[in-house]
Amino acid sequence: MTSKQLEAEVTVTLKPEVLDPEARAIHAKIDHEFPDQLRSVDTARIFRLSLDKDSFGDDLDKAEAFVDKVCSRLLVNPVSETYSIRIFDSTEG
Amino acid sequence: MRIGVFQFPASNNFDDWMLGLPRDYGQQFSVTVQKIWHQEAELPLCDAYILPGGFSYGDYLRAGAIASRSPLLLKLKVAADAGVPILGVCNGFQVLTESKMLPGALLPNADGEFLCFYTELIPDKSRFLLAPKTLSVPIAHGMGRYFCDQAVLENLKNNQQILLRYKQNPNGSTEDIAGIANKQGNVWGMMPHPERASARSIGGSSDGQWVLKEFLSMAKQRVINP
Repeated sequence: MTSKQLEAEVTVTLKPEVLDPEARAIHAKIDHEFPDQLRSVDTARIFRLSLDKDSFGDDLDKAEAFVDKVCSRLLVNPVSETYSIRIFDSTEG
Repeated sequence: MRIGVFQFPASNNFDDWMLGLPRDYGQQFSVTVQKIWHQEAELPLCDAYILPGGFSYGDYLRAGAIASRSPLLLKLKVAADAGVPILGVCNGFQVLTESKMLPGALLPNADGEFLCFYTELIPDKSRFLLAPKTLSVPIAHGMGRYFCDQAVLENLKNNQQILLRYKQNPNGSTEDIAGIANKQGNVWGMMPHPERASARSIGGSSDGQWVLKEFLSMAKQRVINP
């Protein structure tokens, strides 16, 4: 029986060519308070998924394949967004 | 003709559609409107379907994303492939892009504001929606910026799938696009609300009638419930 608890962190960002009005407004505000110190601002959205021990045990590849499927089915719209996945064991360190 | 209007949690506009759909437009149509709750086991047999505006599932994740994954939508997709006319307005347009029944995506308005006013719409040279003039139809959306990549845009143009463009782009949409059709022409999506510019009792413009009349004409050609 594994003692690992696999977690996934999915980071979703807009594709670089897609205008991000929220980031633009934040950038303008930072520029106003701290002039000339920023080149750009991007926003991102993070989903944290805690995976079921019985289903995945300590199989990182299986976990990543599953999370990737969830991303393409629901979490990410490939028309305007890109994403990255990080799988880790939350019982470590 | 039987027209099915979908309802998800936080859909609205059902009464607007009840009022706005032409009932006997110059004796051409006899229309009954049926509400379709998203949890119904089977897709009721209708001559055309409407995905109305609103904020289905609170617009959580992305506007239209969760509604587009509901089991009944998969059945609607089968109907779309078979040529059944489907019109998505506002949130309905977002559901259609999220479900891949229409290409592209609808993103937050370029200026970050919710916009609610009349817009002037120029009918494009589409194969599907012919109107003789600029149409005055209201918008009410926070996420109406139509976005697609260059390849999709070229396809939309080459296949004459662009239905309507804004005269003055309110939301940063690619090439002022306000509404599009699929390649076959039976699935239409648009951000402006023709049903809110249709019935005399609602007041204001009645230009939305042009859109609804063209849509119903398409439905009438393949009618199953006369």
